[in-house]
Amino acid sequence: MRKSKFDLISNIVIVIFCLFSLFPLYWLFTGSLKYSSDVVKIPPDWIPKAVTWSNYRKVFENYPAWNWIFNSVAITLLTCGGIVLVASGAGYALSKMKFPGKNLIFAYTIAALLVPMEIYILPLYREMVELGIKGKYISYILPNLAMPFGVYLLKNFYDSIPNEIMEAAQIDGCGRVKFFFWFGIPLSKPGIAALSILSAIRIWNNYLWQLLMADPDNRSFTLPVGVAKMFDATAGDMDYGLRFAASALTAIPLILVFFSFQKFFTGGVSAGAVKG
Amino acid sequence: MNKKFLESLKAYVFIGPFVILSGAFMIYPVFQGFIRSVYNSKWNRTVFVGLENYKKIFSSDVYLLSIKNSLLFVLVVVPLLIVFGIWIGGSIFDKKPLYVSSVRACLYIPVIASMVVMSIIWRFILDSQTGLVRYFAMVLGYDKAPNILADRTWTLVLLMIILFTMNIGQTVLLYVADMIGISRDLIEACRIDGGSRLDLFCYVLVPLTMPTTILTFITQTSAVLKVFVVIQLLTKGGPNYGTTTMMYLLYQDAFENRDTGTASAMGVLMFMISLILISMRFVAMSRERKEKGL
Repeated sequence: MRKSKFDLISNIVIVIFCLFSLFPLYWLFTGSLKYSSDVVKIPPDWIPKAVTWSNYRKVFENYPAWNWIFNSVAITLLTCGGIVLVASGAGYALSKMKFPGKNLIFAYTIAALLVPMEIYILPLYREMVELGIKGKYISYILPNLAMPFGVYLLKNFYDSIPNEIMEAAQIDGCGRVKFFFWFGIPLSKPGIAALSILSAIRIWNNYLWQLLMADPDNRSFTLPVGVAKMFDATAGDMDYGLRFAASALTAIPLILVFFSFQKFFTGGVSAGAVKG
Repeated sequence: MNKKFLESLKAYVFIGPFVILSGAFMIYPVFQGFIRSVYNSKWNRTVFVGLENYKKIFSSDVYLLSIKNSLLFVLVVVPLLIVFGIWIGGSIFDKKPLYVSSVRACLYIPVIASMVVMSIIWRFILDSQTGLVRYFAMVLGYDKAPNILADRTWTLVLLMIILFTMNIGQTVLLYVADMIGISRDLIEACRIDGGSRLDLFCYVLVPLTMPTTILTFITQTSAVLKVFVVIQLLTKGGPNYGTTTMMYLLYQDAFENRDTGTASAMGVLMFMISLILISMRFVAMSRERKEKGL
């Protein structure tokens, strides 16, 4: 493409826009390293002058932050594992197996993509109460296991495995179930990686559901719920550094995961969404 | 025949967990929502009230305002996402891979950082007593920082900006993936014919990414409608119910006012909107399939 002014200006604006979208997080992370009195200083220190870790220490000393982290990590890992298991089975069946009702279930999967949990959150909450599991780990995990997006994403990955490979394997006496374990799972690794990251982001950040399932005991909170509650409870306090640090703590784990696995992530999002 | 039966049986074992879990924790609650929406269960008594809950929604100013706000968010934010998605995607997709992935990462990080964290940061920044907004007010020559969250119009604008920044990453990701897949020949042909960047947008990028645009419209409408966290943590629906949305009132009725009938009716209304989006998706998919000649 010939160098054009329009393109140049566009890209300059885009870079500025990127910085704008990162700014709130930059402000959060630097704020979490400042002393509370420096946080509210005007004019602000754009780069922290006196750096301190005391805010983070205080979060762990004054709040059961380790419990919150443990809850969030455990719920996220268990749910993601379950999602991947459920979705790879279903995706494989929809892609490579023949059975009555296949088209109907596929259509249902597409439809379910557009029915967010928020819509039926009240009856779902009542269901958890009636089952007597509200507040237990299982209540955080169970309703999230059947993830239509995951099924759709992995079906697309299995679709990209040529049927010829499977037929050749079949001639050699490898059935469809065996094929799934020997070839299906290894060949869909990028899809499984992408689904793991995407669902981890979704589950870790599923604040509304975690808020509803939370017990009154503050040690049972997940990290986002704990931080949001703490934020409301300390609204009038002067300890800004502490609140900055707690919020930063919520964001850091996923940002690290994202940067470690970015390759899988972008591939997965586009593969899942673009191929109709 | 027997073999075929065995084959189906194996397939059902594979797909069974998804169907059962989805039935128990999605279809069943949706169905329950329909039933609860015709009952009134205030004061520990459950009374059949017919369409009374729906009438309440459509005759109360607060509920009507929440529907209006939800639609306003969709009508402003979704088109902006599409226009900016195409513009940003089209401006970066043919640059160096490192640049492309950096821009994508920058725009996607707010999504990963979560609505909870983003809402909290914005509350820090906008606090008229202690926030950064005081500095910007000073730079612009005001002696006092405005209390943005006390003014309905500004709060609405702010929420739209936040919704936009929270969803643009996903949109750009999809457009870039789609545009990278466009045949080089077409782009080259546009260049040889002396087309400018603008021509490339008008004649190549916009028409060829139409399926992505339709998909974005559908999924982002659904995403914007269900927004809850940012309103709960940033405005609590205020000032004076000015920024309530359907989802926020649903939550309020369900878990704070204990008015489960009205909350369920609101859920059913939102489900109806989902049904419209779903049928649009099916129409779009079958049209695409026809074009591909399948």
